[in-house]
Amino acid sequence: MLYVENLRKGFHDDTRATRVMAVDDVTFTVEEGQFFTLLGPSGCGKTTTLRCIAGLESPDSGEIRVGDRVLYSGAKRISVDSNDRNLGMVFQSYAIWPHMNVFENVAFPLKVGKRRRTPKKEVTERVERALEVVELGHLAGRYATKLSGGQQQRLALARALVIEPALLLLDEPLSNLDAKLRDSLRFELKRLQREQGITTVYVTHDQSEALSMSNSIAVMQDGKVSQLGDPFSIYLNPQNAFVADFVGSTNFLDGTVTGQDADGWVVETADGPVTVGTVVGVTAGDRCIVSIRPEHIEVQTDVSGVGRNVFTGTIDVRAFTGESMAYQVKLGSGRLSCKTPAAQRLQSGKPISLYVPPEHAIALAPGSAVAEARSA
Amino acid sequence: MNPPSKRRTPLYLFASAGAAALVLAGCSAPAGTDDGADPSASAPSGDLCEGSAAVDLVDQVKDMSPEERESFLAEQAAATKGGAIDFYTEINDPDPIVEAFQDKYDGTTVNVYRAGSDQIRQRVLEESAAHFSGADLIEMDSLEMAILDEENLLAPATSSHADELSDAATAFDNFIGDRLSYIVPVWNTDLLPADQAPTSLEDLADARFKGKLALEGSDVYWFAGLVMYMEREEGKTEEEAVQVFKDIAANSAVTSGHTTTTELVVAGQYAIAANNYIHRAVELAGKGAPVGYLPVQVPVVAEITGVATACLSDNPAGALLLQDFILSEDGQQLFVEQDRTPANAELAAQTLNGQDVEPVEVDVEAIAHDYQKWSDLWDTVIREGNAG
Amino acid sequence: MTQVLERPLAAGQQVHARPRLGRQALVQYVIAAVVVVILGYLVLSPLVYLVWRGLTTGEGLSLSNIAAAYSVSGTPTMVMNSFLFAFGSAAVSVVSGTALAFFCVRTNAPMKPLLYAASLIPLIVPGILFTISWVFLLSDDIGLINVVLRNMGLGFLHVDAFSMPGMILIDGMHQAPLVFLLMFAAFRATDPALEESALMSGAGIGSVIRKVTLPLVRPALLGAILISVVRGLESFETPAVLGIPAGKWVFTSQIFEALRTYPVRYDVASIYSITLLLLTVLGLLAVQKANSRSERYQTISGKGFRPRPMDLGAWRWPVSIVFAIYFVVVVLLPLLMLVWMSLMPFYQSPSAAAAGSITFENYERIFRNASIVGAVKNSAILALASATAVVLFTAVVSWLSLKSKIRGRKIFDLLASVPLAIPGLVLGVALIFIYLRSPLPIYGTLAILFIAYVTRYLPYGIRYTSSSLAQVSAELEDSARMSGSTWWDSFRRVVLPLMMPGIIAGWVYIVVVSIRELSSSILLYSHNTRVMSVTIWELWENGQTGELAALGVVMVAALMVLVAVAQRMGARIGVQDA
Repeated sequence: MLYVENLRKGFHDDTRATRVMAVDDVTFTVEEGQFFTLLGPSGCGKTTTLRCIAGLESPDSGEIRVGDRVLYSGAKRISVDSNDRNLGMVFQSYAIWPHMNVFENVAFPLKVGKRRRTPKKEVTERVERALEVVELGHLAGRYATKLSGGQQQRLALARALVIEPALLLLDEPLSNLDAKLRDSLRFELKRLQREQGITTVYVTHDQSEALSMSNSIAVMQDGKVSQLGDPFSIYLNPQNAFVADFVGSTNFLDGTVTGQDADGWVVETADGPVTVGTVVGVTAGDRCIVSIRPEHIEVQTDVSGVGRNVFTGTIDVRAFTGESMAYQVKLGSGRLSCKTPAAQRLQSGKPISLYVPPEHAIALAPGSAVAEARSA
Repeated sequence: MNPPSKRRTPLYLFASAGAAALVLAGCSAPAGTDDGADPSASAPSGDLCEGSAAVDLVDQVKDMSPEERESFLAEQAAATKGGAIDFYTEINDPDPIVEAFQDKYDGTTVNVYRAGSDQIRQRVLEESAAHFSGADLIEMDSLEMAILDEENLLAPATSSHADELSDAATAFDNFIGDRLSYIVPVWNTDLLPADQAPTSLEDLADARFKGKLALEGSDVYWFAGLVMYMEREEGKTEEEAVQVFKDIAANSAVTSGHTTTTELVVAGQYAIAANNYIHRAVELAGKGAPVGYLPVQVPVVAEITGVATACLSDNPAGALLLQDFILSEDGQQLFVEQDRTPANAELAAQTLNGQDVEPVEVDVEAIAHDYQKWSDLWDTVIREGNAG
Repeated sequence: MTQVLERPLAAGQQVHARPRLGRQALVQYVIAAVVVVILGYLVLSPLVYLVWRGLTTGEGLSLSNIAAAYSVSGTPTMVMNSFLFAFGSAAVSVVSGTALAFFCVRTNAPMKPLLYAASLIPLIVPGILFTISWVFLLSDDIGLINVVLRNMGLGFLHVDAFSMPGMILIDGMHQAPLVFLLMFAAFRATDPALEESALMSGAGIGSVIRKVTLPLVRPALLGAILISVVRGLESFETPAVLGIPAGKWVFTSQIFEALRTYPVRYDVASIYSITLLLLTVLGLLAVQKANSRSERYQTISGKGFRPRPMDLGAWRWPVSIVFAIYFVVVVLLPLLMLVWMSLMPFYQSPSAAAAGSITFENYERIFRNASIVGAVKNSAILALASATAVVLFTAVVSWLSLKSKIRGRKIFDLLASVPLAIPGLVLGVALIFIYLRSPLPIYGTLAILFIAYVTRYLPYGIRYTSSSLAQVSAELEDSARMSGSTWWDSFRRVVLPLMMPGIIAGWVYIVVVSIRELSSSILLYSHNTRVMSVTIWELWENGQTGELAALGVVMVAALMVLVAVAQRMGARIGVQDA
């Protein structure tokens, strides 16, 4: 129901010398009722894309449609004013109006622009309903600045929803909250979205948020969509090194694809050969990097280090995360991160043997993101 | 905010809006074809007076008897412009005169614009340059009045009361003196005993006055009058005469405004002011202030304040009527009550308490004619004296 | 999390043909066009006049006037004096005004109402009254303060009012309220979290102030400094009353003289005015550069806006003692002097003997005087009308200047600030000339004074509205747009209310200064459009100091009531404090 096609938007940098493409040929579709996330690091263009959909930025070219309605079309020279698009938006800073109370904040959209003739009774009804949905009904008379962060966020949500918008746009709404609140609100938001059935576009840099909340994710980098898909495929089948590294954490080993064997492809690394179950974008003879997530690495009881896909090394640093023990293991030339249950506390400095299951190892084309990660 | 096109359009919009603004501004501001592009050239040409209503009226009433003149003018005045008469005057408190006049002549209203003489002069010049009929009757000091006369803006002055006035007041063609202000040194009697009073003009440059002497800085008339007097009566050259003033200026602090200066003298900020009004001193002494001016041992210049009818007046009958009233005994008496010296010779003699203060003769028109020169000269005197 | 955001500069070339103009953008354009025309007319017509007078002679365009103007004797000294006076006065007012504002808003200094009063009252007292009362306090011989200092053996500390240091001190004290109001609005709107994080990093209060607080209010501070310097350059009453007798000539007193002599030296007046103008424009461009980065200073966002006062700790009482002394010297003494003067039949130094002649006749006289009552009415009408017109107009202008994406929007701020450099005297002359010839019935009515006041106070309006607008986050407006509101709706219901502290401060300021405006009014008034300041000037010229003081006392009292009322109202509109 939301169609974004070949969207482009560039800015002049400060010196006006060059043009930076913040959004570079972005295309995606969001189905009705879906929770769609634009995920990426700062500067990847996700917020700009969202603002283009909202009408707060003017794209250079492309098309944006909601259902049959064209909101923007470069070719047909159409651009609907942002106050006409009937989209609900929640800003990163919530943008609660400090000079109004909770009720007035939510009532505002019903009193301005095309909706200004809404009868008072209806306004009250709709506002109260919206406040109930976000569970702020009891605070209707309080001044907006006297709310906590979480309450302000819900207020912003109520205000966006009161107009019964076609689409809900959220720009990193949880990033200003503390971790615990973030976690609980994450579920609330998801639940709310599902109950209201409202199509949602969500922008965040937090990959765990994206994974837990979305039906579909577009991972963005430097203005382009790096990979588009549901959370599982994004996480388990990253198509390039950037996605592999950005979503979740992963280990990278440099190597060269040498050939195939019974279980998959063989990659020769500095610490020995490893069989990988999937290759993406590389073939025999190509340089590649192998991605294997820490939680998939099996710690061997037998520390002798014998066997295919087995690496030996020494435990360099360990960290207790509450739910598990995380280790940094120093191999011959590379490093691997892995985990064990918290109870199984292995000692630093001790030798360790790690098994990489081929089905969880992926060989990817080397990219610049990798170079940065490795040099860290 | 909103999408694109605002990027191209503004330039055109601005260009046109800016052009519109400039055109509007240009229309109301001078287009260069107006007069006075040269600031030093005189304002409007002499045509303003020829054939003007004011001049015609003066001619018309010139031979009437005083009673005839008065009733004719009264009738005309009330019938013109709804009886409104615009009076530009320098009098501190014009209300007594205005109220008395309005009481006497039914249907008249006097609109008073009160300002300093130089400001009145400025305003009349500006208004005349635009052919705007602002003033009907003008009352201000003779020097500024002579300037307006130079610009041919004043109607010939006649009045049924001319005979009652002292000679000094009737020495002019296009305006008549209505009151006199004598300029003498005035001092604080607590700070300066009478035997220390200045014995002559040159005496003001004496060391005993250093740091205690105030010199009013806008008195070009007084300066020019005395310089010409010294050249005439004391045989000094102009340079020598001016030097006298330079010495005085070096010895004094320059102040602005005669009456302010008197206040400062009374307050004790200065012990003595070189050029101040007798009537002001009299007024304050009456309230108990420690101020004195006797004995007067310097040449005295009398500032004459005069009235004149503007050629551009749109109620010349009203102007003449008001003028006559001011010059009549009733009007002149009002000046006496304000401690001023009226032009009416008899009443004048009464106000000075029998003091014999003879003003020197001053050729007002000559000063007005060379005003630029005198003004610049005075400027130099002030500046050099006040260096630092 | 902090809300100090940097946004990329918008604009740039299109890749495709542009869409048709949206209705909202069109509305913005129409408004912008109207604003440009009004601004242009108000500001440019006097300029055109200035240029015409200054750069033409009888034969057409010529530069000879420049030579003539600058060859008047004493010119280099005059120029130097002007700068010395302007910078000195600005230094005094910026330092004291900013310090007072800071302590009032951001710390827990005691006696805040006193501080607030001390900062505002000099503003209410008309320049000429203030200067005159200081004459009687600081003149070399009879000045009360100097006499007391000498009696205490501190004679070396004495300052002569009729000297450059005296002029600087007196004018600076008088201008401090302007700076105070500006900085007050700025300090009030900054996010305390930024300072708190500095404190947590171990910085002492001094460092916090230097490294966090002041940089954050930099646009407002720069604006304040600029205004003070320019105001000093174009100040009229102090150099006229104190400077001329002391032989210290500055641009304005020189222009005044030039306009009073005969024949009028328009060349001198306009060349000097053009000089002042160029100086100001330079300064304005500098501040433009700093303000164009205003987005960096966004600190009112929708989040947790709660200004919290800093604890001064041991410094509380020393600071308040200093400010109590400031209050006594700057506020109490001149006012008491005025009251004393109003009770004397003619001026006498305060003493037991003089106290015997106390009388109320001055008050009687002013209340009986019909033209004074008329002047009061005119002043009130003009003040209210021009203040309202200016703040509303400049709110729109600031928005166009700071928040719109219209290309070339810098011109708005610049145009609105130019009148700052046109001396009131010259504006008066220009307006007389223009409207004498205009078919509209403006000359000789209140309208011509209204035009003069609005033109003169545009720059102050825009400083207030710009600095308060700079601190309103764009997201607050964006969310209004997303909620469906038109530009006008969001301006009226979101932007204006949030700008209220600044707007009210600006309104109050303009009301107060327009009541005391003298240099334009003195040329523009007619028989029934006299205003209070002109009446006071006349009384001074006539040496009627007793009545002048009585009128002054009444005026100051009335204005104090106005300011107090506005204060209370201002606290209810706009952002709620925690």
